Amino acid sequence: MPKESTPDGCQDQDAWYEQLAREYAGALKRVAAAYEANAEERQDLLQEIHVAVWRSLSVFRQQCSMRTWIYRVAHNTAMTHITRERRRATKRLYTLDEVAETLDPHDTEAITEHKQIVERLMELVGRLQVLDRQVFLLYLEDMDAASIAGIVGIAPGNVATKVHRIKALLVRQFHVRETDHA
Amino acid sequence: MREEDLKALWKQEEEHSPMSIAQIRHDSEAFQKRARKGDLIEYFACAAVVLCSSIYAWVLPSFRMKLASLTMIVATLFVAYQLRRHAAARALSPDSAAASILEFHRRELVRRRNLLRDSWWLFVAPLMVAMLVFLGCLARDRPEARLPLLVFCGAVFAMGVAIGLYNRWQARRLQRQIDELDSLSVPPAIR
Repeated sequence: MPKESTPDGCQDQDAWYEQLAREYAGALKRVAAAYEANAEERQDLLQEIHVAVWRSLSVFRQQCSMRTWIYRVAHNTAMTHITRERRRATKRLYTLDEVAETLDPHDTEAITEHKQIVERLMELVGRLQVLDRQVFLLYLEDMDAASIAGIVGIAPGNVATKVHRIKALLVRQFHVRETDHA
Repeated sequence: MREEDLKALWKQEEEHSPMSIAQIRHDSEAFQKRARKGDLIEYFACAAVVLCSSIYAWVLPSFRMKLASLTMIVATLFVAYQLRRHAAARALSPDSAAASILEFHRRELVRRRNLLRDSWWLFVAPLMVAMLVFLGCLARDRPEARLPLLVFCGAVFAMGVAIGLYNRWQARRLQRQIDELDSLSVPPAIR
């Protein structure tokens, strides 16, 4: 998990951005990958996200944690991108409840390659409706329900319900065992 | 596989070199230019209609046709103004980019719903009325062409009504999505 950063009054926007871009490089790249399957478009989206993060720093007044801010900017930029793209290509998106029905549960059993698992996860994420996709991605980033609720803006109870469905989906698709925290 | 193993796999990082500040500044300008280009296409279309109608108003001998051409110019300028006011591509502002995802999503849906709901009055009706006036004047000046012009008027009217109905259906669909989002949001008291 990237460490939290706070703005230094003397630090300029560029230097601050560079620091954050290093800390969140992987997370931002994964957001872009989860929203755009086409490699060239994905690179454009990633650049667009970085530009949005850089621009947003001029209005950051510690309204929330830096991590929440960065994820909000990244997801909102990605959402604007897919709204624009969906006007061109109408691809049906599913809710967490519906998506399980669209996937074949047996074809994931043989998957052992890590790369294949990530590709399969990407495919699954790419079929989800926007809000479900965001909760799913933040869950994969190992965030708890309260953090996800803060970023997405939905009630923690609704996040918990969605996370429960995500776990059920992962059990079905990837035979995942829940981690025992006891 | 354990849950934490799956998350670790997901977060396995490939090499990634951050963008330079010069690149960021360059891209920021490029994105703005690209957004403005989309608007320009619509403005060019409006300019073409205004130009053609101005030529008609200048060369056509009949006073009625000159008036009809001027009506078309006024309607097109009105639509261009409404396009600029309501539908112009704007870069994502830093403030809205950092709104909660649900709030941002809702705001965008409301903007699109309002645009669809009002699009008949803002865009379709002015152009349709101007076109019907133009065709009506033409039919009075050229009685021999009345029947085909009447058929064309009917087609223009039917198209306007179809666009209006389709947009209202789309606006209702967006309203359902907004209602769904509202049921998920955090109550204001604990926000």
